[in-house]
Amino acid sequence: MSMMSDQGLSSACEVDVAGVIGMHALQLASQTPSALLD
Amino acid sequence: MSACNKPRTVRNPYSLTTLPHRNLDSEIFRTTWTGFLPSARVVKGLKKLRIGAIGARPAAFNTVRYSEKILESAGISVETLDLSELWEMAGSRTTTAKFGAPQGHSPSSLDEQHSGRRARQMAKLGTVIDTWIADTEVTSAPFSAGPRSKNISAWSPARS
Repeated sequence: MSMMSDQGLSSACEVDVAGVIGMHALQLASQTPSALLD
Repeated sequence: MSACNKPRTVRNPYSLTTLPHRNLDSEIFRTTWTGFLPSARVVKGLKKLRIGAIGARPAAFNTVRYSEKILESAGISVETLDLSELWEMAGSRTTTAKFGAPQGHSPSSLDEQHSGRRARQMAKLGTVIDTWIADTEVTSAPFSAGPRSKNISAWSPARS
């Protein structure tokens, strides 16, 4: 998953679709990989 | 404000700037523009977003439930992939093109847990997921990385 993040593909555990949308939005805004800490 | 009300009446999105008038080569214009760009990227990037959902939601995780209908109304679609189908594809794979990639990515993972059979299993899984992502053109992928996937494979995607 961290390898995918480096490629610009956000990913999250437990099929957290809403979480991954938030991650993707943060990645678009910052242009850097984002993280989800829950 | 009347100028701003005009685009609102025709339902055009707009944002207010720091100052109503400034030179294009001024520092304040540069600052305003730089602040606007991330918002524009998010709005543009979330339109027609395709998400890949790998596996089913673990039963105990009620807080991550979602409605595909609501997402579709916002232009976001979800492509699903069954976990057993994923393992079946990984099992039939002979290529280990990504073999060594996890070690190269994270030097701390150079231990016995990621060596040999498990490393090859991860490499196959990585190749299958990469192929599936390319085929379905998804931009993000939430995994089912709960106890179920650990039991099937003795490996959890979350540990890569």
